[in-house]
Amino acid sequence: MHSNNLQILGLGQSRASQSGLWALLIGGLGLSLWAQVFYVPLTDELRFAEPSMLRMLTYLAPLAALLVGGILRAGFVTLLAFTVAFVPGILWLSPSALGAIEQPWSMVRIGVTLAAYVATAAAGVGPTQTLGRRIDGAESAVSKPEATRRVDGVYPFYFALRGLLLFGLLFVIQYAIFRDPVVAEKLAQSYPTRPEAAATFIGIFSFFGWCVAAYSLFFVPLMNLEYAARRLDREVNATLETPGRTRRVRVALWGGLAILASATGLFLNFAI
Amino acid sequence: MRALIYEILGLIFVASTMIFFYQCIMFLAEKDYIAGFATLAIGFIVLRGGIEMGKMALLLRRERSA
Repeated sequence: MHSNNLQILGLGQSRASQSGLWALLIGGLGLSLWAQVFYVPLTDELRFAEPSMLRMLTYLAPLAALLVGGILRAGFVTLLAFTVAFVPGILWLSPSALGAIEQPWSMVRIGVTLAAYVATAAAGVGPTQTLGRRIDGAESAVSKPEATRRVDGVYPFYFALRGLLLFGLLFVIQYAIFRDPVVAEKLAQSYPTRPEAAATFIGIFSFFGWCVAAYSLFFVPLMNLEYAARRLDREVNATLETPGRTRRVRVALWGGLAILASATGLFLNFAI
Repeated sequence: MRALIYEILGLIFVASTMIFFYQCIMFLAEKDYIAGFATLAIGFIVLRGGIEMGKMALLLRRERSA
């Protein structure tokens, strides 16, 4: 019992130190990202005789999101609200500030910092699970030994193949933005004065989209495969235990919803 | 056999996400932001669908080998 308590205490201390390190990393990376984009425009604004308060608030908005997200350790705030909070400020940047961040090395620096930030934020917002282990890292008396089933044999190939496709996706995105002549022509038509700036911003936006997709749609579902297997078992059992009539009503409701969505899409297609 | 079908479908779904992302960039380049975001959302859904199918294939294969 005493040793159990010591183990629990040790686990708690380890988690607390990990949480502190995570908050420090998130703070450092987030601050670095903010400074690369908004530090110079903010200091420029402060030099004016009558600085615009609204503009300064839009520049400072990401920091507020970073602070709230770091304290609450909420994935929604650190991953989404923080990055979305950059958008109003970027739209309000002066041409000279835009020109400064459009430089190739500046873009690379922002991209690398953003990638590091997304990876760190994603790693710290929720408990992760390694294959064959419970999420909380402890074996429960309730869990049966056979509930943890291993997929180690086929898993590496499965993971590597999809990882390759995901990085192929990143390559396609970057190629389309910076090398594809069709996209370049459309950019030149739509943004005749600043096609490079438009390409840069679409590049950052797409990279952020890719990071979110890679984390939430790829790594999280695949890294928690054992958990997903147990959940699937529970769902299958629950479905089998559901009375036939309830099941039919549920299928009819989902089917009706799908038909309604399709009909709306068709209507909009013809009406607009 | 079912595992193989799920595997192939999953890979097709994940690979086809590239088309949606490419189309999204085309829309953004044309200043059609709503269409761009909608296409991106579809790409996300297709990617998730592909991953889910892959998971099903993996689980079926595991069930068979157990």
